[in-house]
Amino acid sequence: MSERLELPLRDQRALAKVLAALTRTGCTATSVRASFGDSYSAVITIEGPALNLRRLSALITRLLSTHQEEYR
Amino acid sequence: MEITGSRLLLAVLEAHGIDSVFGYPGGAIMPFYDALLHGGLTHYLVRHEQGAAFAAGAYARTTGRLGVCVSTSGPGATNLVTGLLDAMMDSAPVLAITGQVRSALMGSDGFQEADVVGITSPCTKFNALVTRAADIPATVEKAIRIATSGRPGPVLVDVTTDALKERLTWDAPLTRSAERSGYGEGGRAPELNIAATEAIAALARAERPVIIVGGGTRIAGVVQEFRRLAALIGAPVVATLNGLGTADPSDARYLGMFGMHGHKGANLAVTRADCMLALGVRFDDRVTGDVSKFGRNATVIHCDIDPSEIGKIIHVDVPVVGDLRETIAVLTEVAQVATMPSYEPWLAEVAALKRPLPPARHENGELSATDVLDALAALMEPGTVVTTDVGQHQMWAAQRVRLESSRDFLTSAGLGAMGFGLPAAVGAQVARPGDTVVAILGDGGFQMTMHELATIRRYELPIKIVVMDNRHLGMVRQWQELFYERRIVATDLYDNPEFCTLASAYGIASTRVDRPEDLHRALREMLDSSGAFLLHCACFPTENCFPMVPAGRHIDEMLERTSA
Repeated sequence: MSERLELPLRDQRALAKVLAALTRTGCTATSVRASFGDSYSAVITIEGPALNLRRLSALITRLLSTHQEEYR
Repeated sequence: MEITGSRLLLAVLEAHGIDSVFGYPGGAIMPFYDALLHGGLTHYLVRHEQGAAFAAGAYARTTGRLGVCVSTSGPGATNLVTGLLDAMMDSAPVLAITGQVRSALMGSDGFQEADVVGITSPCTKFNALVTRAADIPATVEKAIRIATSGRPGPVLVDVTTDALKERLTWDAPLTRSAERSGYGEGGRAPELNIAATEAIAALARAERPVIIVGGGTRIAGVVQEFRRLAALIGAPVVATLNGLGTADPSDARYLGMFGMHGHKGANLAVTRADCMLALGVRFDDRVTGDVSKFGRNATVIHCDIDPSEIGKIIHVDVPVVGDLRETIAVLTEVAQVATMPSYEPWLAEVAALKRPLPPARHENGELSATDVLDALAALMEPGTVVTTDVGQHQMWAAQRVRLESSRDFLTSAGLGAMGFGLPAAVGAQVARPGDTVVAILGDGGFQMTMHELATIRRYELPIKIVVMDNRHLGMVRQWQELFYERRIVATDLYDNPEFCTLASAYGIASTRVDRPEDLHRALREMLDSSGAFLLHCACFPTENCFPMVPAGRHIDEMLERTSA
């Protein structure tokens, strides 16, 4: 299965955490595009089995929750 | 006002009401320790940084307040890692302050330099490197806010030596960051009412509901609120390891812990349930067993503050995302006006499923570990705080100890970190100086952090230490016996030290018990002692922990004895 994620990130460390989570859950990033202008954002295309993607999704949800809290 | 970065750091901690920290000094953090001379913080010197992290985690678990640990750079910081991950897995709010080499040395592989922010990223909710004194207040305030809000967890602030030494003019007030229990803006979300109504309707339609209580209820501090809700719903209640103490132990509908070493009745009730109300549960593999079969025929209502937990492990029919205190309040309001069934046939079925724990085995008149824990559980006063290590004794204790509050049972549940129990008792006793703290330890785990006996002695902490010595890494030995055709490898601790002599070396009173007939007297001597006391229980080595669900099997497939 493949998923395309647009991540509203604020810094590169958050992107590094997301990429680390990919390895932990056995998923593969087939493309990563990061841009830094007024804000930092990333678009990642991910492949992996459905169960792995579900676990990755949970990890990213948690990372983004804390990330948003960090910039409140 | 001219002030150093260290004094500013101290002032920020004090402004947040922190009065106790657990730590160990070293080169890079020395400016902070120097500043401690001028502040109102009580510093507890542990004998290894891991002990500081475990003590801070236990302090947080038993109070609901932030626990704080301090270390130097490099090895000091890396020694905190296990404790931080333990706090992450069990959602304990812990702040770690680490010294870092001076900015000019960073990236040069300098002495005691480590990429602490990199190393601790996966085991903290938030971490940050601070290289300027002026950034200390905002960073520490942010860290504390993140540690204590939403689903709590550990945070780390790594401060360079030059930032700690830097002098700056600081006149801004140091205010305590606003405490918020949830990620949202506060107030009751309309979605919560809708979800709660749906949840109670699902329970009202059910014929065989079960309430599963998890560690989230301890974090939310909702013992009485939960018990009121459970009584209104009237369904059987089971608990996870971290959820122990929330349900009323005298309620006939309470079936005890479920999961790999759960009570038989609890596991069977969960298996047969057609509806589950799960409160603050993350469905660890130790409770679900074969996840493909878990809750297969049940409507699952999952209440959690962390949206990432919903649907992560099992399918959820009714998600309820929010702070559990608020969630339970809304569920209670809805249940009060709903017509709930009596569930009488189901309650009768569940009552028939209840089984006593397997009886202790006795070999050649030697002491049985389960006899020790049965006797200890019977003698402990309500309100006693229990810490454990990890292994057989942990599960035996979880099965037996009768708890009045979820903040009275402190164990490394998610991470399963051996060595937790003794430093956790230090943290618990500092947090609750008026309460009895009993550390139930295995001989393996005790020897991982037994140097904290020195901490106990120095601060005259009256901790009661029970070393369950079966001269083995008992749980691993049990798995070798049951699942590795009795090939016993590297689990025999036949050369354990004499633990009473060890206690004596640290100036701690102790006694050893070998025979069942001496057990009651020895336990009484320990519990009646005014100071720290170590009870060495020399148990026979081959007792196994049952019931047991083999890893990966469905939770109704319980072993209850060793097959011949």
